[in-house]
Amino acid sequence: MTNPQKGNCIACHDLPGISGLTSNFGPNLKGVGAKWSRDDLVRWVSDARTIKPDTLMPPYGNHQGLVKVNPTRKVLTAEEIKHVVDLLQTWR
Amino acid sequence: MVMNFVSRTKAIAFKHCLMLSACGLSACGLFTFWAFWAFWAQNAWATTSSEHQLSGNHFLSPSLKSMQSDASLNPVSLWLDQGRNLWGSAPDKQSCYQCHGDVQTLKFAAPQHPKWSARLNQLVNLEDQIVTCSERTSRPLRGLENPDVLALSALLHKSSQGLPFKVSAPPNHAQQWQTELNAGAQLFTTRKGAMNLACTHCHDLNIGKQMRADIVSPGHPTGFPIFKMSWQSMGSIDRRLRACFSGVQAEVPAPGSIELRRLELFLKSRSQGLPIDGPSLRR
Repeated sequence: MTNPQKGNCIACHDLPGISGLTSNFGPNLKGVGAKWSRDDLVRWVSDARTIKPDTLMPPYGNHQGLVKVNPTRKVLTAEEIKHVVDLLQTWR
Repeated sequence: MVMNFVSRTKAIAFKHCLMLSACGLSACGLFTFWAFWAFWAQNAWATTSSEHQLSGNHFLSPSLKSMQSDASLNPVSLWLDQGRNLWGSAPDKQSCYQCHGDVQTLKFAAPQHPKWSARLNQLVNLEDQIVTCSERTSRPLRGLENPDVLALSALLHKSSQGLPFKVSAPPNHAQQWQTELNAGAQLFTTRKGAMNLACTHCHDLNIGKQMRADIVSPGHPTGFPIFKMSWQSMGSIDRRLRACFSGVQAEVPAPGSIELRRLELFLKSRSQGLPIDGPSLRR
């Protein structure tokens, strides 16, 4: 979540427990574990377009329909998305 | 848009008035409430609107602002010195001065680029023009990020400080120019890369938002060329735009590519009227 070569969630979101330079480009992630089910969180991270078609959330697990992607691999693997969602679920 | 907003504001305020009337409030109280609400809403809009007209320099951290304002600390000073050396003065045989005279004679060059080149049948920006110009001398400069090209670009932009961008269609090539401008607008608004973001998503819709140490600016190119601390070097708008493509994990256009010139033309057209305040510092 803090790796610039990976999800780098911290670039856009305020993450619970992390102080200092924070972000408010996307919503604060405090409470997301209570607000959304595990399936919904997987969809938000993997491909939020399936929840909100005009979202600014990058589709980390699906590069279908994207334009001029480089590198062409998915940003996060299914295993990495699982780890991210595991953590998101603890933020209640 | 302004009229739409004001009309909407008044319509909403009127609706509030009706609701409050139903609650039995006095006419005087209603008017006070309406006036307050309309004033707040219009000022809220004014704040948002004025944010769209701010230079990138407005979003610098206090320490960078301080460094920028002190010529003895600002690394841009070194590039300006180099630019003045290259520009030369009357006795130099191979200097810019030999053809152009004092640099102030070209103070309208930076605001008018990118321009349509009838000879090349494409847009050229200021750094392209510096490279082309240098090829007529015995000291040709190679590459858009050549330190001497950037030093001359910095000097020319410095001489244009305070002047507004004024990119315009050449009379004989208006249609080609318009096609390039439209293509630039298309690039600005098209989602791209693994992040699936378009320029407009940050630089129109999220101005002022914090992304760790960065604050999203409206993306007006008034401050170029820039000395970017993370590059530890001066860089052109060409390089900065390529960094944005990289940032959204998209295919990065080659230096000097037509895509970058189209985007630069659109950005400068979008900034029309804003004064040049480069060269400048960036984080």
